Amino acid sequence: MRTRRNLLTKAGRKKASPVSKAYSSAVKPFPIVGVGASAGGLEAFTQLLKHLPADSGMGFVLVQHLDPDHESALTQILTRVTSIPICEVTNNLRVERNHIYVIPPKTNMAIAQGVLKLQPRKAGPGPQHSIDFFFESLAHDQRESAIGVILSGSATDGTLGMEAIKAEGGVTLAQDESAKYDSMPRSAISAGCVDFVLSPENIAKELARIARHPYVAGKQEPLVQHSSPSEGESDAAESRHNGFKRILLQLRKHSGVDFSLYKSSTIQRRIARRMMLSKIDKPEKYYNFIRGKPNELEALYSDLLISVTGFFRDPAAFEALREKVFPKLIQQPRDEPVRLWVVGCSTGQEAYSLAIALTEFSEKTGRSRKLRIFATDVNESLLQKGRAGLYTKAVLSDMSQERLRRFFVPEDGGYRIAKFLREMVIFAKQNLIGDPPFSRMDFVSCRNVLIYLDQELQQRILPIFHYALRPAGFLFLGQSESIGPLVGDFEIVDKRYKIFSKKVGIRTPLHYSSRQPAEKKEAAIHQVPAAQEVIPSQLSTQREADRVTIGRFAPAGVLINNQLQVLQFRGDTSPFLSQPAGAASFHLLKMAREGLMLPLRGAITKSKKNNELVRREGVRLSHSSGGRLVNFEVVPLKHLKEQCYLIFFEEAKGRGDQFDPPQLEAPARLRSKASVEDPGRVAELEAEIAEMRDYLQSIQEEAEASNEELQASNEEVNSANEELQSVNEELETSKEELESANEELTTINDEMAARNAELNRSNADLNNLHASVNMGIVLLTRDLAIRRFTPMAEKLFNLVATDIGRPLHNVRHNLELEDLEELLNGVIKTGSQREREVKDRKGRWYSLRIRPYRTLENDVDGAVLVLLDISAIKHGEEQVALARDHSEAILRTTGYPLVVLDSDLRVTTANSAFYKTFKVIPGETVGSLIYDLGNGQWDIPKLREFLQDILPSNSSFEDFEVTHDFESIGRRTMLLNGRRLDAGRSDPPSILLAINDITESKQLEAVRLSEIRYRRLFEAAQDGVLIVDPGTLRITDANPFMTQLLGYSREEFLGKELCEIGLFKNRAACEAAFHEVKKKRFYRSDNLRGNTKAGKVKEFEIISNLYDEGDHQVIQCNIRDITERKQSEELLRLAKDQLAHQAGELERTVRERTGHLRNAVQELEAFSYTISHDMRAPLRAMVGFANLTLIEARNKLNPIVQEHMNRIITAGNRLDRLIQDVLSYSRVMQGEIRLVPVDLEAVIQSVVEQYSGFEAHHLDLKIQRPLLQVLGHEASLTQCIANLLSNAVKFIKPGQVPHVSIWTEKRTTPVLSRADARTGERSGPMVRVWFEDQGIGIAPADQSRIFSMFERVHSSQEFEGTGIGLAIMRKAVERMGGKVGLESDIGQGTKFWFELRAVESE
Amino acid sequence: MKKTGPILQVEDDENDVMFLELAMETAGCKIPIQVATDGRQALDYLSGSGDFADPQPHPEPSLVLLDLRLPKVPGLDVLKWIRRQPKLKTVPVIVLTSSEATRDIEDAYQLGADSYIVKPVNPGDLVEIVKYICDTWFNGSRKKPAIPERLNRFIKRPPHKPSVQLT
Repeated sequence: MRTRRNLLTKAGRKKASPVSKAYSSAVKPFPIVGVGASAGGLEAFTQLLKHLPADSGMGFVLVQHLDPDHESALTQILTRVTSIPICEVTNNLRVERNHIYVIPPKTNMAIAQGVLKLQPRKAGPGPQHSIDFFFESLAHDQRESAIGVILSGSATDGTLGMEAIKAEGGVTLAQDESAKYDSMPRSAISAGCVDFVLSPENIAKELARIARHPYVAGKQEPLVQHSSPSEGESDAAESRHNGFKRILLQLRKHSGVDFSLYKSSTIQRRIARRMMLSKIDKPEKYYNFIRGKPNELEALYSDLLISVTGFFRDPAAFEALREKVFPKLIQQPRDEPVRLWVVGCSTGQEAYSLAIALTEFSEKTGRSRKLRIFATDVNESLLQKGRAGLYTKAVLSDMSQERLRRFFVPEDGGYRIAKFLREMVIFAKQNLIGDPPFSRMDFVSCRNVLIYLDQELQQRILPIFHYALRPAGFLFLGQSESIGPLVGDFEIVDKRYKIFSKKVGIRTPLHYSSRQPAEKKEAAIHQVPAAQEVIPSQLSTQREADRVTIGRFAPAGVLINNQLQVLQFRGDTSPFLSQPAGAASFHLLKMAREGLMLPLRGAITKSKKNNELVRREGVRLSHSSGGRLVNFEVVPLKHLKEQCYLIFFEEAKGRGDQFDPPQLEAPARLRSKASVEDPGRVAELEAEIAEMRDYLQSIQEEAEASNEELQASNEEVNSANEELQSVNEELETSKEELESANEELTTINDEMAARNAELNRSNADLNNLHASVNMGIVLLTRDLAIRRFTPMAEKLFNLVATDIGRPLHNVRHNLELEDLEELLNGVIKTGSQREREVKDRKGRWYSLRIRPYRTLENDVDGAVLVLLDISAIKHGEEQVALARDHSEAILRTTGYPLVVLDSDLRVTTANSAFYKTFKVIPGETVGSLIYDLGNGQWDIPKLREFLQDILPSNSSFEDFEVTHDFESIGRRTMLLNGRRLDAGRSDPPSILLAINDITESKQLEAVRLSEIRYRRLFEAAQDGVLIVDPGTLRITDANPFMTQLLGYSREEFLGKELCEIGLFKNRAACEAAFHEVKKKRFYRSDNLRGNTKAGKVKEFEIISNLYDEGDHQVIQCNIRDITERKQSEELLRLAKDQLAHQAGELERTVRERTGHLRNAVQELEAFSYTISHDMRAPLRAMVGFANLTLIEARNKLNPIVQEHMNRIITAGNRLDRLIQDVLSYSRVMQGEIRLVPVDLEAVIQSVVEQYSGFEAHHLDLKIQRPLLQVLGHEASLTQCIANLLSNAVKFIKPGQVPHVSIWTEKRTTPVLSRADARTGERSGPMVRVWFEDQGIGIAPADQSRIFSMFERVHSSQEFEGTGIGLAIMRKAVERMGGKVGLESDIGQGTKFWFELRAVESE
Repeated sequence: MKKTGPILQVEDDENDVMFLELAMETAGCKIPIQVATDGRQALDYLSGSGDFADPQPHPEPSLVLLDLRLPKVPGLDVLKWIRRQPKLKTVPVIVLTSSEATRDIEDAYQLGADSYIVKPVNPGDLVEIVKYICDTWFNGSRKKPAIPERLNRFIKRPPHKPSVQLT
């Protein structure tokens, strides 16, 4: 329903249809395919033609944008691709099937009656529109046999043409993303007028398929015969017919629009087209197909209502409006807005065109009037497009630059209507046939809607327009539409462009049927053909009346309708009817001459009731009317939609007194008697009766008048309601947008919560690691502020939790380390690590290691300081060294011979002292009996006795002195010590025999012994030992383990310096180390890296001591392999660094996310604030006007309508409250809050003073002094306290006095809550503020949700309010860093509390 | 002092113009109203230029009711201009607007508004507001009456006095 595009002239179009029909019947019709392309078209054409069968039975016309300056080679190129004959078009060429035609350059091509017409194209820049031009002519010429294809190309040509083809029922295809330049097909697709989007190859296949379908091939049989189905019809037709009806029924169920009254041929064509697209050939099948497929139903519905519309369609008509209509609209003296109604507005172009034209006009004339344009349609999706007001460039291609600039805003590749225009136009869904119309319109535009409706429906709709218009309001119809039988009710303003104005003073009764219930509609549809047959058109009312009148020899009479309005006067009725004084009226009873009214009324009522002819005779007119006797008949007219009556009048024969009709016998006799007996009395009575009649008649008239007024008010209320509804719908749309924005934010919030949880876990891991690592670790920022530390570092640096963020140099540490800061800065600057051993003031040793703190981007962002306690290691080393010294001393002093004997007393070993002392050689000694040694020199009886006794009795002997002449050494005195040696379970025990040559000094003996022990230790030691001469610094001895460590043999060690075997980097380092040894007698380093002989790198620890050895000194170096220890330390440190970096990174991510989230929340708040605010102006108008209506029409409205108006007002007020509270809520959420110490009592006082309502409720307020001071925000606190007090007053049993006590309580929460740990805030002591009331209380089940937005525990009937107060309070308190809660139960009163931070006295 | 001039209502919403007129009628307030439908007109009226050059039908107002969201010249700019004119310094300016934004309230008082009133939805409230305005600025006495409790929601105090709002 909407404006049809008229590209061809009206005359041309009118001629075209019949001729093309004739043509279709002469030549078998075939589809003509228009193919449009521009840039990249050649390739697409080639693809398309390659896959096209030669016998498709279609004609093809290619329209390609061609360069006007060159001959086109297109025809030649395409000939090579396909076997179908191709030719370039010449003028007046008839299109034939299975042929291809190509447009020549520099021309515009059109088609008329199957013949191609060429006309020269105007040269000049600017976009080409040759495709649009051809497609539009194709659409109008070929109707449903037209097929449009858009291939590759830039710009938007073709879109309008495709729309035209689709509107005429043709098929449209466009190339998919395979197009080289896709803006042309995309433009058509986005305009919603394309049926198939395919590649050129598939387009060819689809075309071949379509060509065979009866719809396109022109063989489609009509779904419904125009005459009702007769007996002889075939079953097939019958079933088609049923299918069609069922489809309509389904459609009505879906959309509420009854298409059975639309022009049947159009509807059938459109349904057949959908069937073709869905590849279905029978209506019954299609019906089954669409059942339960809302998508297809919606597509069908849209197709049925399809239309071509545009801005300033038919510019000449707009010119006519500008000349003849606008001046009158604008210059009306009234102050109200000009009201316009655009019926069938589609996507709004017509409505916006009117808005633009009127705005321009009023600007030009300097008279600005407010415009209110109602644009209505039955299709909601079209209305939504109209409301959005966003149009493509193609749609606006004819719009002047001036208008584009003034009335449009460029957006998203198209243009949006400027906001002030959109505000003028209200879009609403309205079904012209079922819904109540708008009223008091200055202008109604209904162009090209009626042409889609059948005659009967048109007759019903035109009176609606008449009703809707103000007196002298304008009606604007389409070119081929007329006002039909209402010609008398309108004046013609412009005959050519169908502009009419409502005649003043004529009021047509309005009939619009309200929507019938669905079952009724179904029944009605099934009866469609029968009903059409029985009810003749309303047009024949007069003819029907004529028929009856002629049958009755045409006595004088009138034709009236059910409302007793005279429709027609027939013959001379003046003896019976007269024009009453006052307002013109055609009401029969008002016109009836005196005396006639009551009988007429009675007769009509009776006729109405029984639907039969009623005759009255001998009715006497009053004296003033001549006192005649009159007969009349009331004849109800049958077979009409509206009940009408014919009334015939005739003069009764003779004068009243003489006439004595049989029906009136008794009264006549009475009357004659009376006249004989008392003529005076009769006259008196007659006068009395006449008075009574006058009185009755006046009452009657009053009743009628008020009835009419009531009806008018009712209609006004209906239309006001309609307007309110449309405003409401727009509000709903905004609300939905808000909700979806909210949804998104919730999602973001959830994501953030998940991330937060992850972060918490990592943080906990890190904390645990820190706590369990027994090392002092301090993380520092670039400017040496403390970022993090472990418990061990706490002790060493005297740190407390608050030191985080403070610079390190502010902290007094326990280390003997003066240059810590320089060290740190060096590390940060160079990015390399430092290491050092340091001692604390208590003397414990630490290995200090400083590494740069690297971010994940490998930037140095501070330093990591690690302290490892190495005191234990140090201590152990010292112990070992001492023990070694001790043994060494013993060894050195043990200088006497020793010999070990087995159980047979044979020598197993003897020490070198033995050999030396007794000057024997091991070869002779080992394995010999002790008694055989030295020629039996040990064969001493006493010794023998001792030795034999040792093993069996496990005894020992000591200091058995033997003085003996030894063969080789002479006489010596020896002290012999013997003892059993248990070497283990498996070996037999042996005997150790120590021989002390006390001949020599005992000391010497001891030295020897010690030497031996030392040697053993030296050789058996699991540390490498090097002995170095302090003078030359060369190695004098090396133990075997040294060989194991470095791979050199002992001989290779000897005489070398330490740097030569790779233990020191160079000689200087070596000398420096030994210098220290010589100075301090001790040197230690665990940072010695050396190479083995094989080249392997190892880490060593070196401990050197200086000893006095008699008169000279030696240096002993103990060397230990600590490679593995170093490696694990390194790994640990790396892991730690990584953890630290990750922690830093996570913290940064959280900070960033929090920032984003905060921004998003702020934007949303600002957004909702604006929306809420802008809602109030329309709300004010709603409530205001409802109020006004109520006041102005108070006495005229019936109580129900008054009640309805009151409900509108109540609802409006409630909405206002809601908006107000939402604003309060968002105000709480906005803005910065600075916490300052607040005196609660002062705040409470100010609340009570400001709100006198508390006094009115006798609020009993008890404050338990003193109230503690809190840290808060005064305005927010005021809000909270006001809400709590107002709740206490509100939620109370009727008749009770509200009591409230307020006190404060100090609460200390020493434990860090998790929230505090996360935010890093310290939680100090809090103050809990209690509000106890004795109100109705809150059930425990409700307590958890009472602080949420819009939660109300009670219905609004019980207690008024919006349910936001406590939510606001909670938000406000939370923003101040506190929390809220309550304790309550039903009937127990409620204790609300909120907690805020206490003001701490420093 | 007795005021004689009309009220100048600066208001672009003609519904609100009508509501005010009705409210004045209902309240029995007989002071004439002049309407400027945008900020430019208001400036023209107050400076006696343009369409308002003739002082006879356009006498100097004794009170200005000012909306904030106005076409052409914003209300706050109009207010700022008025306070700069020596001869208009004493003319009371009451802001009557839909906005409840704290920023608007602060700015209006900062620029010298005498009162800040939020447009009510209920016409009954508007009548009370009109009565309050007439009592406060046209009763001839210096003492200003207290703000009726019913209007607490609508009459916004300067921001340093937190206003109580009940829900």
